[in-house]
Amino acid sequence: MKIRTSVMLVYSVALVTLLGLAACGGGGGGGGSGTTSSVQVSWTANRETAVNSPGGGYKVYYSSTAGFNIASANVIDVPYAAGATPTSTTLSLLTGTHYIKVIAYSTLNPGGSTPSAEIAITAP
Amino acid sequence: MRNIHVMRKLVLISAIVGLFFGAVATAVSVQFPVRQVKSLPAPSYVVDELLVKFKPHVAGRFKAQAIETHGDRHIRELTPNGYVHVKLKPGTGVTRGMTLYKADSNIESVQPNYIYHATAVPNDIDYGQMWGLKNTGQMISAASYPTNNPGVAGQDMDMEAAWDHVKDCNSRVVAVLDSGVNYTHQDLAANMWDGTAAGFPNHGFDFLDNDNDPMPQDAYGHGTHVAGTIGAVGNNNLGTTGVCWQAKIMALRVLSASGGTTAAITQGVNFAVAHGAKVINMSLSGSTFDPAFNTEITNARNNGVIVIVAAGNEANNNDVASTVYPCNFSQDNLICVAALDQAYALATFSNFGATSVDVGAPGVNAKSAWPGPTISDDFTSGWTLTGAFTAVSCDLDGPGPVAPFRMLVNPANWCAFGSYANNANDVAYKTFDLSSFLHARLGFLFFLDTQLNTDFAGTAYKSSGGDPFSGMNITEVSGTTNNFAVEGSADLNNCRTATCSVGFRLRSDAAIIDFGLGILDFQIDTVEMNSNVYQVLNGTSMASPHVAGLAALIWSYNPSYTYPDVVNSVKNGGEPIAALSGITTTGRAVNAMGSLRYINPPSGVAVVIQ
Repeated sequence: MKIRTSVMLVYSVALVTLLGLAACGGGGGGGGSGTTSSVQVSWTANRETAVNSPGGGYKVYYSSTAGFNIASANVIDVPYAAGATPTSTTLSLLTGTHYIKVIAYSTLNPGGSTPSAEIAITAP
Repeated sequence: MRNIHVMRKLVLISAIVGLFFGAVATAVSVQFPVRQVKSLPAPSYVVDELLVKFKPHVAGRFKAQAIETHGDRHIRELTPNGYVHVKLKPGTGVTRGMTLYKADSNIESVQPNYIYHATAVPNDIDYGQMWGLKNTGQMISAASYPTNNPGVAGQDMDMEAAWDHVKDCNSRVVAVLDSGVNYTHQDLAANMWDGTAAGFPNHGFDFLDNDNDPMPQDAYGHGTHVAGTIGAVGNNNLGTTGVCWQAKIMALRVLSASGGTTAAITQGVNFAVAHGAKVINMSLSGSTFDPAFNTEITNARNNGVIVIVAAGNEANNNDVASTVYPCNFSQDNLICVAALDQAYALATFSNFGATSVDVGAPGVNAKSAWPGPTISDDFTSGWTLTGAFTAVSCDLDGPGPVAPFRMLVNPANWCAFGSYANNANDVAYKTFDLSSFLHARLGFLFFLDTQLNTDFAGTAYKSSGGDPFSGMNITEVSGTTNNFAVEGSADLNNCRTATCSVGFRLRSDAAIIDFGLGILDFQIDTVEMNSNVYQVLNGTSMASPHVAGLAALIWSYNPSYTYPDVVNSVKNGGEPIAALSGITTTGRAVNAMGSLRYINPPSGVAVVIQ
């Protein structure tokens, strides 16, 4: 009986964790009420070794303001994962026009590169 | 007479300094550098830990309590210093954690838990003299550039930080288009390109003699010095350290002691590109746009090869006052380099140009490899003198500031503008042991004034010793150098014996006598097997190879880089300095750690609605 209880507890924790993750993803992507679109952002992999190594990666910044400053924009971190250089991520964007920039970073340069050219996307 | 005296002085100084790579002591406006704040490598501490020191009266259990109050974990108390090692709760971060703990009146101090690494410091015995790699404010010995020696600590290429990440440039061959390289030098032999499979067992090619041996036949050490700056073997307990500790240096001889030609240089570039070099260093310059040379730079670009070149040593603005090539070529694979001194001021001799010169690099009092010993002689002892030949100390500027020079003169009162004798046949010579050298060349400066085509000054050598004018190897000149001191030389490759006599002669006919002959700065340059000799030199020629080495280092660290990536990294990773602002395209001094940190902005960004 004690064993069964223990197992049930573990299941419960796992369930809460899953729910928590789902809720977090929805809130971050949608930012509130309204229709959202799933938008895939892709880029060409940087050629710096340290970017495509543990501790390196890319950050995708997005905003509804053209020419936005990345310091005050939404951001998705896309870190390097063992053996795989990330070259895309998916955003949930509200209906309207959004502007996107990507930077690359590394352990040598946690602040990262200057941003890529800004591109615009209008989510339906 | 007085005017002649003064002119002798001025011309002499110019000619002597000119030998040292054109570091002409012209008065130019020197801009003094502003000390720049450099960012440090990050992260340099554990991101979720602190070391907290409580005041002495706080008991152990209260320490743990105070830490738990913040939701953090007490790891251990460090003895004997009394710091408590704290693990911060997730999300706090070191900066905020320090703020929280500092606000606690029971806490004396708080600091990050710093991370230390073994720092890459080479054991080479002359490393401490290499201010361009690490400037500690050290005084450079045997320096010929007196300004800012010592300079300012920290004004350097930050090599030690970079060497923590990469010091091996073996994956990118660097071609040195220059006067040849003594590839047996103790600090270069292990870092030469191996061209054996391609039919070039001597690490390159000689485009002057058109053979596969790029040894400096004329003992001109410029290329050996350049090669050492790029890739003197690091951490071998010997001599100097290159920007690259390990390298593959391709030696291409395109310059003699008196210069090079389009034919040799363009063949050299072509060879480098065809045989796999990815970086070419050219510490050389001419003043004319050269279409054939320009085409070869483009050929290098089309093959993804970077070309690093010297800005020139005339203290000119290359954009306006004069053009300098290859510096002024406009291809995007070319980086033109100005010379900085030990305080990161522009060297007084360095050219510059807001649209033509790109970056600055260390270029004064630079110590590097040299092909062999230099035998200098001031005529004090060992000379056989006949007739009026006399060794004197001659004060060329009278009461002026220049110290007297040791000279060999004829007539004996040459310094007082005396005249040589009619019917003279006077010789002066000395015997040297040149038996241990691979190559040898005599160089000297001389003033000449003899009756044209009747009275002659001569230079001679003889491998079996004795009066060299009793032998066959005699060169004579006649006329006047118009009170200019000009360079004289003699190839001594056929005099490499233990009894090589070298000397001068003045012979005259029965009529008309002039001022005669004055000789100074007598030296025999040599190439020695396994040379262990080093030399301290100045010039944009010395700045350029610092950048060539850096380009190879960056490329080795980032093997996926294309040539524009490397150029961007060299230029944008540099350190902005006041001395280069507005007079170069970047305003930056190259910086190895800055270049390793540099990240190109991502490209090819695209979005798709799913």
